[in-house]
Amino acid sequence: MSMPRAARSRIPALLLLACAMPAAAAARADDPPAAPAAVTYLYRMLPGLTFHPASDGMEYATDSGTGCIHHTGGLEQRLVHSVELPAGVTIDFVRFFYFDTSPTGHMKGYYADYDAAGNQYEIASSASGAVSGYGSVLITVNRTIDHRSRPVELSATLTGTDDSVRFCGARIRYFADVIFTNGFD
Amino acid sequence: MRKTVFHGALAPLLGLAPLLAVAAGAAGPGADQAALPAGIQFPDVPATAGAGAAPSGGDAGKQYLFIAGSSLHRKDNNTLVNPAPSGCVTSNGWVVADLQLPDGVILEGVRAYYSNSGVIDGMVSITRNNGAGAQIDLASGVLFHTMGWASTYFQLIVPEAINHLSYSYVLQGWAPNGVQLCGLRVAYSLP
Repeated sequence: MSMPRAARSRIPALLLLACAMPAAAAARADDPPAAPAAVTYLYRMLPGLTFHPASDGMEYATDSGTGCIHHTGGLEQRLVHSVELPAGVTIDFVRFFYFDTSPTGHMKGYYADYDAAGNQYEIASSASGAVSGYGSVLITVNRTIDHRSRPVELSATLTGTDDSVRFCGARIRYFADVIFTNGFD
Repeated sequence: MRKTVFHGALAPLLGLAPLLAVAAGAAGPGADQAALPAGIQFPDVPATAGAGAAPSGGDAGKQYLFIAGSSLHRKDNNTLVNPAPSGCVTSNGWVVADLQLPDGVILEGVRAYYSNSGVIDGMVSITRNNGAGAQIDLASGVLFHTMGWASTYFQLIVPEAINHLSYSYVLQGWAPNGVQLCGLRVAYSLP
């Protein structure tokens, strides 16, 4: 039952390969579960350059070849995007992607919903830190989509008027609490 | 000739160089088994049993997402957008819409519906972004001069499995004066 020569000859190479592999990055809250979970997590990523200004008072530009967008002038600093997911799914996390090399400016991402009667409910928000280059921030939402009463919006505010602060998109993690989970309760 | 000069001279400045390599991605009419939108006759598209008719033959199982040209919005505040009749759009810069397909489906191409009687051709593309500054064109092409309404299918060289964990996807169009971009119909299949 000795190991075949061909297999034995591959052992050093396999050991070298194992040593060369980088250590696994620390798991983040919105990463897919490593093991099978009771629910299936789904993702929806919205490109930064498809967010649009909340009003005409914003001057903005997109960054060629990056998919990002930045503020160039005007009082309006907020970019918005609707969230169009099936009713009943639950959003647990939203990750906002940005580029930030500004010592003073930042990107801040928001999750908000509305009651269609003039009231806005900001559920969560988070701002970019002082980093060099691209990064992301995560907010915890835990809200269930209900199209009967609550339209949902993602938004990002950009302070500063140059491309040192860019918004590069938002990624929603959601899951469906379907009948196979608790529908027979 | 004028169009050629324009594309060659200005495209790099506009960051459009990838769009010049359009011929490879453009497939012949009918490659996505087009069905006619209601109300507009696109002469290069084979007729089917009516608008929205199910694709047939080897195209069974293909799905579509049809986005009206008028629902695209500008990429920057210097772009002027003029809505045209029939859900079309004309713009002096790029207009965009995000492409929201279910995770796992196979993106195969996009058919652009348009007319072009101008001196400068329009363009369309599908891009993929990773949120960290990396963007690539999955498909792109030129909306060449037409006699009336037309459509062109731009096929991805390599079909793309939609993966929202890692990427976002953008439909982009540019419809300068004389061009009306009336819709982008994305073709995809189930895995």
